[in-house]
Amino acid sequence: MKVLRPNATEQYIRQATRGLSGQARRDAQTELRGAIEDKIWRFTLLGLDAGAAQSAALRDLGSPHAVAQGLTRVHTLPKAALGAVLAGVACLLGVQALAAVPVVRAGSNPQLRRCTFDDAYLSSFPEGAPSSLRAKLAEAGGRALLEAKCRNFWAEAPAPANQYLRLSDVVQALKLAQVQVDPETVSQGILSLTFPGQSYSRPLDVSSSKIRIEDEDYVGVVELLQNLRFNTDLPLRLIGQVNPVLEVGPARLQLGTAEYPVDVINIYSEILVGVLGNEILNSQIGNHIGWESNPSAQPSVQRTDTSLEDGLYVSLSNELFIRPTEAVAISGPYYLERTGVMRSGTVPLSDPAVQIAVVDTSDQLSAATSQKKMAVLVYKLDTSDLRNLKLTPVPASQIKVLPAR
Amino acid sequence: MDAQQLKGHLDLLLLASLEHGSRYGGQIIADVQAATGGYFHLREGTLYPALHRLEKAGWIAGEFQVLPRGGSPVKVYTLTPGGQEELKAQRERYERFNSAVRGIIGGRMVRGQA
Repeated sequence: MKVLRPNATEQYIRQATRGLSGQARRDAQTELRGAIEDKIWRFTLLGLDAGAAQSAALRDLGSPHAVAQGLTRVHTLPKAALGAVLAGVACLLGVQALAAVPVVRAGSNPQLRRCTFDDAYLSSFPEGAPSSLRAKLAEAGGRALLEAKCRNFWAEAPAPANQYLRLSDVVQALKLAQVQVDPETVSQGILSLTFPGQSYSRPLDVSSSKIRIEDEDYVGVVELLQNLRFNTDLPLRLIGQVNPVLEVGPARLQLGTAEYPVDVINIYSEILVGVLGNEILNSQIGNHIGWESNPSAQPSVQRTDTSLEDGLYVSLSNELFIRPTEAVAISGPYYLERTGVMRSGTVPLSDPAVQIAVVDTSDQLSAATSQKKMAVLVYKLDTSDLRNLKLTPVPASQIKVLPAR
Repeated sequence: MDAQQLKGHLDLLLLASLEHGSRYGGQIIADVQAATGGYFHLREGTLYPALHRLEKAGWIAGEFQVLPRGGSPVKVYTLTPGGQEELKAQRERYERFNSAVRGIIGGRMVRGQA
């Protein structure tokens, strides 16, 4: 009989509340603990033994990172202790005045890579910080060493996606296009906009994504786009890959700067999780999709049919089911969605070190997972109209995975 | 289930689920599934951020309680007086939207046509 692994639940809880700190984190952890226990209890009522119930419960919860994202967006973050001021801000403003397209500064969630082992961080552990951590911090120079190790770790990790836009820049760019913005609701993260030629205002509520970065309000680019996609009938397009220009009706906004660039791949990756989730009727797959920011740029898939055009492609792979990473082994695997640009016939759409078979349908993908075989499904993405993102499955006969290196 | 459909009405759904008594997360998920015949399957990743948002807005209040079966405490939510007002307002907006849609799909003639 399988027994409960208390560490598995605690690790999930820790990962799912990673974006929070202090009392907010403690409360969220307590709540999640009760919720997970309740879920396990409900599974045991269905006849599962304790161990199976725990696995089923954690699997059903899905990616803890997705939960962390949701929770982090709701809770206002404390002032980020980043220290350095953005270099050349004055210079940037100067450029903004001259540029044809207003620039919107971007950033990433500072809570995701905190390397400050202060009392606030220590008190965020529900049962108190581990004694091993406390011991290291008590040593002379211990804290400095740990913080340096932490920073080195994040320096080598892929850069976080800059998925947040400075709210004041967004408002400014809209005003430059003669869009009226109700000043009263902006600070709450609600944009009430009246476009030229229209007599009514459309409220765009991005308040749930509002965070503070260096004392400024930022809102999520994906939340903004989802609002625009579903709550307006304005023509909507993203042009370009790095620091793309967003066209919203008559308004144009360049998203990101050289210092904090925005890659359109990360935006589509996040939006497509929902789009794919709706498209794929197989709920086994549809309900378990996740993405990774700034994936490898190494081409790994090549077209075998020249009629397949260069452009945006999306892949969905079951590799995390077959070869789970450490984090995934605890939380449960998901289908990994990647978006890539095909240039001259090749596109980065899978881990270049891995040999993987291409399938034609989501049912084949699901079957491959049951047979513990690595498989990937590929789609062509049409983004000419953001309100109507089109995914067209690519037959396996038209592409091949390049040999693993 | 269209995720965007749910998102637009999630607040109304959650406030309404607390109308007749306090509930904790696991109960809300079970209630919603039962009441909608499985049409809405709420995920925890959607539910808890939404509950926290409603709590921040002051429409619901949460309190940790230990269930009769024991174990870790669960956070039980109750509709506040402000929340009852908000539920009423959202319900009215939803009804107005609903009848507007019915007015079109119900086959009424568009003004100006013979």
